[in-house]
Amino acid sequence: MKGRIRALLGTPTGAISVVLLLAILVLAVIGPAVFGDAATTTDFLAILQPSSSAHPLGTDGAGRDILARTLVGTRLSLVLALVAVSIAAGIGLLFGAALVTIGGRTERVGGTVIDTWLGFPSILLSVLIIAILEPGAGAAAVAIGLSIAPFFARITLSSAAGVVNLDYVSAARLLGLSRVRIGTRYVLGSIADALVVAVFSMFGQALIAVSALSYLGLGVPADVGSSERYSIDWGRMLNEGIENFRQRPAGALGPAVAIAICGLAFGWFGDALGRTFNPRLVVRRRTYADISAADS
Amino acid sequence: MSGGWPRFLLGRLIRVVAVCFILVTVVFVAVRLVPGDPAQKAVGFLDGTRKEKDAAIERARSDLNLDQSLPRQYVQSLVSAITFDYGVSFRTQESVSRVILDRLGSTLRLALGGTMVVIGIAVPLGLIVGLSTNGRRKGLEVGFSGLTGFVGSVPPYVMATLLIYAFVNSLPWFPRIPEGSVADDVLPSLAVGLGPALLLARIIRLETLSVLGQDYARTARSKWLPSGRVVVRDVLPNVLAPALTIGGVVFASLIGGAVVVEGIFNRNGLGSKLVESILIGDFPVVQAVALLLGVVVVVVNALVDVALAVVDPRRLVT
Repeated sequence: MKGRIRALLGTPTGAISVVLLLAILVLAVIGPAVFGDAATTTDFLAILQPSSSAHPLGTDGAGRDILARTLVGTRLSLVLALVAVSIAAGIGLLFGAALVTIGGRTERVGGTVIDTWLGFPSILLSVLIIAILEPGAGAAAVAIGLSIAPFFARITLSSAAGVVNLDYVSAARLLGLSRVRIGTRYVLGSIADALVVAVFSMFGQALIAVSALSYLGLGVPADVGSSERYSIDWGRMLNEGIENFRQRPAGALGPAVAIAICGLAFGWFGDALGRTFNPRLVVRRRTYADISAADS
Repeated sequence: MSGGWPRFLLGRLIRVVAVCFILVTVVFVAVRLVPGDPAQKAVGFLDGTRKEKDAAIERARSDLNLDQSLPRQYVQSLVSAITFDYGVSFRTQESVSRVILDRLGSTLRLALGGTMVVIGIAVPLGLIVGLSTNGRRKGLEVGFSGLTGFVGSVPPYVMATLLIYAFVNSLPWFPRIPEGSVADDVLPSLAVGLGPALLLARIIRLETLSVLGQDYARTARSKWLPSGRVVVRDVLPNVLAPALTIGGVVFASLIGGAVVVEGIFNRNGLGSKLVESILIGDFPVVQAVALLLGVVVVVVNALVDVALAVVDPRRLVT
């Protein structure tokens, strides 16, 4: 365990990502309570102000503090990404595990289905899913979850394929253990580390994708009222910021940089985690993540 | 090997046709899962009396074949897909193919530009850094990995915002308002291409190093063959495979997936059209664009497979 922690913090990107993640988590917990008032107070005498000591990143089109809004937005952005990744991991794992358990031709056909599903731009797939579900924050999370689920199915399928022919699994089969028991106890147990790494790597991607949907107006709605401090997310802010980008770029740069930092932190943490669990995993996994990163 | 090619091409062709068939089916089902009556949405954009609207709803129903049985509707949708005849847009009353043609130019320019950025930056950069870090210059290696990993992880739409801030707002290198020249495509292409380019450069560097570590490359160099020849004959063919694969993926995904970047740069592309049509429920356009984008992905992937097999005939076997 000690060796693993050292391996995690041993690389510069690993150490930076751990520090960033802790900061992001703290912000997500305390953000709305601490900065909520500043983020939602409108001041129509001070709209689109440049940066000043009172408003370090200036104010938006309704005179609200952009820095405070960016900080408060951490929570909703993270929660939506979490929902999306949970859905993706759940469905992907079940689908992949079912295919491995059934085996044979079904497994091969299923593998082709997964690869085709993976080949589609995830943003496109999620836009189609949202057309069915009607736009909204929940729909955006579900849509992104479904469009990155094949990634987890592929990892489950590929890693499990490497395990099912190992001696101890064969031994369990000869002993007459049921397929389900072998699947959960032996196969799942030994591919769990690969899946955990994938969850963290995809978390950043999911956050980027959910924000993209909000940016397009398909995710978090422009909400006002008493719960406003809980309905600020970076995608929506980016959309509003782009409108005034020419005069006051900070409105878009704030959320844009926040999205980039979060994506980086989770990606780097996933890589570092991968190196500690299994140094050989890194090379193979990167290529998938890289390609899927290209399409949002 | 001569027996390999026909078999290989036939296999790919069958796969393309099969996936297109599945696509038509998925789009058919998806459109019918959307809540609400499409015909009602069709006339939502019209003004007029009650009676005119009822007549319009009836017309929309028969245009969309909603008045027929489900199996018939399905057969009809297969026919529409083959002839690519999707009727008229609910909103503009133009033919769907017209709507798509209007948007195709902008989309293709961005996809081509983005792919050119990816290949044009990644291949030379990866090769040069790979050749010059072969066991030497630790600092360059660390700097390269750090920079490419960092920039490569920035999502395209964030990159777009940063590029506009840097080259339109701060340094006035590019005009604020598009001028209708090639210069309009430079920043969008960079925004979508830069990230994948740097990640591909990493892969190409590793590929270069692995070729240089092979016995035949070492022998060639130990015989003092000009290193340029080793690069052209041994290294280039090997880095072509990842370059083609990722170039193809980027191109295909940019045809429909650059929605956000299109929005930021105010470009009217196919992706933006799809999102817009979904939001207002313009089903003929949604169906046609979704299908077209899907087919592009499948066909480009198949073409990349064929190109890879040309470069490396060993792939014919699989």
